[in-house]
Amino acid sequence: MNTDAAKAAFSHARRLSPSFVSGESSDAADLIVGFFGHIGPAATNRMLSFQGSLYRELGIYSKLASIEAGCIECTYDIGGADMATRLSRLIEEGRFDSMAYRYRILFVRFPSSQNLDEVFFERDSLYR
Amino acid sequence: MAAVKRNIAAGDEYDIEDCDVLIFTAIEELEAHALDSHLARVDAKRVEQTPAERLKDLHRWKLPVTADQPDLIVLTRCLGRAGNGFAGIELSHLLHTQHRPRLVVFCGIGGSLDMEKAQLGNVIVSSSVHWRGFDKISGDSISEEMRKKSLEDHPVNGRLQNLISSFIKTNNGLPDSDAQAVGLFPTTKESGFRSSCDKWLKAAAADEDLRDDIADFRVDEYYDRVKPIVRLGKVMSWDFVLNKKSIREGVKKDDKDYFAVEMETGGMSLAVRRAREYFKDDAATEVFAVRGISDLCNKKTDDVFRELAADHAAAFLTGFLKSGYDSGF
Repeated sequence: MNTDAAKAAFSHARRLSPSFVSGESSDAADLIVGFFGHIGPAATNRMLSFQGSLYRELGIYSKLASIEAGCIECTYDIGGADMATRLSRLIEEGRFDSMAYRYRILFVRFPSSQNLDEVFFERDSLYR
Repeated sequence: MAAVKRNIAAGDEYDIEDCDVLIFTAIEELEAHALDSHLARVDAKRVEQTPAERLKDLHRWKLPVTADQPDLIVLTRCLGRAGNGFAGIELSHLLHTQHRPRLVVFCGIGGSLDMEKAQLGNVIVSSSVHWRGFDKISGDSISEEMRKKSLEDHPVNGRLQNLISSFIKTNNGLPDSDAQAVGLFPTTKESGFRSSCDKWLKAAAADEDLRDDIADFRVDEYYDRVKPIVRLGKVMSWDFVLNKKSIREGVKKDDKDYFAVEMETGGMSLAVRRAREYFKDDAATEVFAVRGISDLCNKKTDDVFRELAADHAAAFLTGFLKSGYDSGF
């Protein structure tokens, strides 16, 4: 985690919702999600809410592994290559689009699966 | 690894941005007006809404807090009607289709169930909310039956209660000029409030139904007062305007610890609880009520306190959010 704000956001997330956040030393990330916006408590709620929806709407349980400032870049452990492949397919079918819109997601990458495409979500209304 | 682009520009109805705190009110010219006035008092700035926020009548504010903390992002919504059903459905819709705020609050007026614990003009903050009697049938005996039906009790988060208690104590200890929770409703000698009170008190003292209820009421506590008198206590929520003394006394017998009665936070608490269960506590939303006591749940002749009650409730809530709230509770 590259800034104090990112570290504070991660601690805040773990305090708020421990079941959706990895321990400090987790390196099992197989999903990177880039969120639009500034790091802070409200944005952290959004990262966590995204995980609740990902679980309920697409059946993928995730653990937040890190937060990086910039655009807000979060890494998640979603359970390995099979789950990454499943999510990639769901994105391709358009089943992730409304969630990407709702949670102001800019991109999704699968760092541990070289064969899976990274996806950029385009919209105008982010930059009002 | 290739890069793929997806166009997701058609999702306007979901375009609600980040929010730390969501505040509901019910009565536009009273509760929403008081809340807006007090958000401005604590230097909150209105921010342009997204189309979806306009559609859902959500208003966006940025509330500056301490120098080293980011502004608190507050959304407000005036429901425009009373009742647990509507409040619960509207909140549930937001919680299930948007990202979830850490805190949801109802800010408005309510009735006292115990004149010693909650006098006219006091502000009651819920330590727990009990939703009772989910039926619209009224009358003494039916009411008793209905009240036995419970839609769960909703205790407010203990750490949040500690923050609230601590803020009440701090605010009480400060001089008016330094306090963060101060009312805007005028109670000076020149204001119409005192003469309205005098008139009402005389009429109430001559009324057998009302006399006992106001026996120990010291309205002069409010003269020249700007800091609200705030208490933390149990709140009963149901779906009636309670204006019958016999039913009020019956409710009081149900639970002697009740401070106040209201009509929205039961539904909102249940909506939050269901969302937390459904989303496995993802963003761990909490809810509480802030109610200025506008009547004593008897004959509705005490409307003279409605504005003061709404004003002091909003004064407390905005002061608390400005200087007593910590989203890490």
